[in-house]
Amino acid sequence: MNSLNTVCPARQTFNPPFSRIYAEREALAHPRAAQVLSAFPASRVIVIDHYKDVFNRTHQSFYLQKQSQALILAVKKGTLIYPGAPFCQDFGNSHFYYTSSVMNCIYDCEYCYLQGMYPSGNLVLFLNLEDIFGEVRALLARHPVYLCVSYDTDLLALEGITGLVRDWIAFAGEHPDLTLEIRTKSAAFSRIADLAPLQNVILAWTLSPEAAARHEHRVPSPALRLQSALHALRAGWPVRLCFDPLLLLPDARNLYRTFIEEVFRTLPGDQILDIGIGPFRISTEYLKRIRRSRPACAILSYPFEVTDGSASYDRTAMHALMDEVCSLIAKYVNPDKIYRYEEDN
Amino acid sequence: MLLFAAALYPEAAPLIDFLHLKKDPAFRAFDLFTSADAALIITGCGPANAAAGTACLLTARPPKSSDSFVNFGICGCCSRDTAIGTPYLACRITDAGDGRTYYPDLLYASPFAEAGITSFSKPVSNPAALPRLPESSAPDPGQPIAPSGRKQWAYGTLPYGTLPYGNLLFDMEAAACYQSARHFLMQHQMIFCKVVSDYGTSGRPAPGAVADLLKEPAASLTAWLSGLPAPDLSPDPFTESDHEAIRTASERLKLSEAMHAQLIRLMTYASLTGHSPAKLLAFFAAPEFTCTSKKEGKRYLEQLKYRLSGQADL
Repeated sequence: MNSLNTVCPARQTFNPPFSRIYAEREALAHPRAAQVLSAFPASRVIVIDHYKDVFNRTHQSFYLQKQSQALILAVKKGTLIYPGAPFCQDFGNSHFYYTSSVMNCIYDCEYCYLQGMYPSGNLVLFLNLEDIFGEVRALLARHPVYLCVSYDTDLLALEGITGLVRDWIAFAGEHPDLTLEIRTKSAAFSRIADLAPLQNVILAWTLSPEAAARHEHRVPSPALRLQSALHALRAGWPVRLCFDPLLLLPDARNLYRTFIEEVFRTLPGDQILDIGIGPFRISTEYLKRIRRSRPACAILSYPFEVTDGSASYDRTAMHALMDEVCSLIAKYVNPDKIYRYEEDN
Repeated sequence: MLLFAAALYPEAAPLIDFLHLKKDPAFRAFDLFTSADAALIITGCGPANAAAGTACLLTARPPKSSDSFVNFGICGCCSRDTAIGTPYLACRITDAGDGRTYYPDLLYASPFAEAGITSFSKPVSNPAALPRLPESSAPDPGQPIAPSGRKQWAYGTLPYGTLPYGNLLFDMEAAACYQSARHFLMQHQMIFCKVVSDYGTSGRPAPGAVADLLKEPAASLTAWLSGLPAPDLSPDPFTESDHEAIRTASERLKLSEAMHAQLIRLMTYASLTGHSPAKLLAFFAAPEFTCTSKKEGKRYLEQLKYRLSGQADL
């Protein structure tokens, strides 16, 4: 399959990622700012009043900005914790919430919904994690909380810059009623390998067969991701595997069959906490925007079915693929641990 | 295509020379100089002229996604530590009129330093009297933030907080050019290249001196621009015969506008997955093919979709 990368200029013509750091004046006063800026001694800091002055500008090229991503340091105001979105799986947890201390991701997956959700490809880092912790504490006073902290970003991939995963893990250590999911496509478990595992912190790896991973730019290979998950598993962390989104690529059934065999040659299926499986699905509004941004991307040009504002593959074809994937995984993992996203969830 | 806006002829002269631009006598509202792959407008001084000239240029030469717009000219500088003739790219543009600040994207590596610029509606004669930013809630920007001790947020030679409006440079056009151009262009397509000509206290240099001052920066600018990539963000996935086949199929299947759009989407997918739209649609161009109604055409469209979505062999 083709992609827009065929028309993209060479990477070296761009300024290096994070060579521009836009910083709210209020964010510069935050103690975490010094830590983040110290990771980029050669970067230029441009002082701004509000992150939206940069992030929410009109007429930005999400795609080109991804080639020279700027970092925006900000202080998050307003709502800090959101109820879990209907497009996301709750894995049987009640009181499902998510939070975004970072907006956007350093990876560049062609099918990523963030391209439709955000007007900019730049990365916003909210420094006031303590305010988010405060809101989580307030929720915990009412009931246990299942909180996904790495949905609209990849926190573990950014750990070398932000240290947010360590802080979240420390926070979860103090609150046994809090279950955290930290989802990643990175191979960066080594960043937190020195920490003692917590049973209420789930490290979740999104896995894709090689043919799908070719559409995930700058993402560690599936083999590296598997190795990272294996290290986490051996260290005693609860590990979740997410085959989500499943892509209906040519010869998809064979691709996924071969890949699942490879996954469970590397990882002991009986030690996996659980498995998430979901088809590619996206809001039609987001899809429209992404198609404008990546007009030559084959995955996004697929003639999707549209139901209630959501675009997805043909239901019959996707069900057949999901059935196949579920039954293949069930050879290695207790079927009760397999959570399957259904369109009518 | 490179699209330039300069306030005065002396500022434009080096570009006209380097790019071999010729005056377009048919263009009446402003002086316009053009070549096959560049156009330059002389807007006149001040924000109103700059906005009008920019809009006029970008209307006359509607930019494609691979084009760049450059506002080029001289500017004043708040710091005498900055040498006259130093070129900058603006990373931050403040309109002194309403205090709004804009941030053009600087995605491509360049040989130029970067600085913030404040645009005024009249010449600045005493930069020392310009208002400073309120810094009440911010840390003292004069103090290093990074442990390395580097004053990373400084533009040029002065820290941000000591500069009027937080910017090192000042001029009369950049903010207006930006506000006009952003209606026509993406953020990364707008470039503001300004060369320090004075410190605001000694008046602007004579026209001849301006052209001399801008010669070298204009040469660097044109050399840099000529090496810039021109990413085509809307590549055409079809060959000419694909286009013809789509037109014919659309007519013969009696497709509505919406159905025609659907056919284009399907054929885009076909093309990107290695199929030939012309071959796929050849059936509909055959003389013996008949389709009597839009309803029947819709059925053929559904069949195409079924085949392309991987549920039947192509």
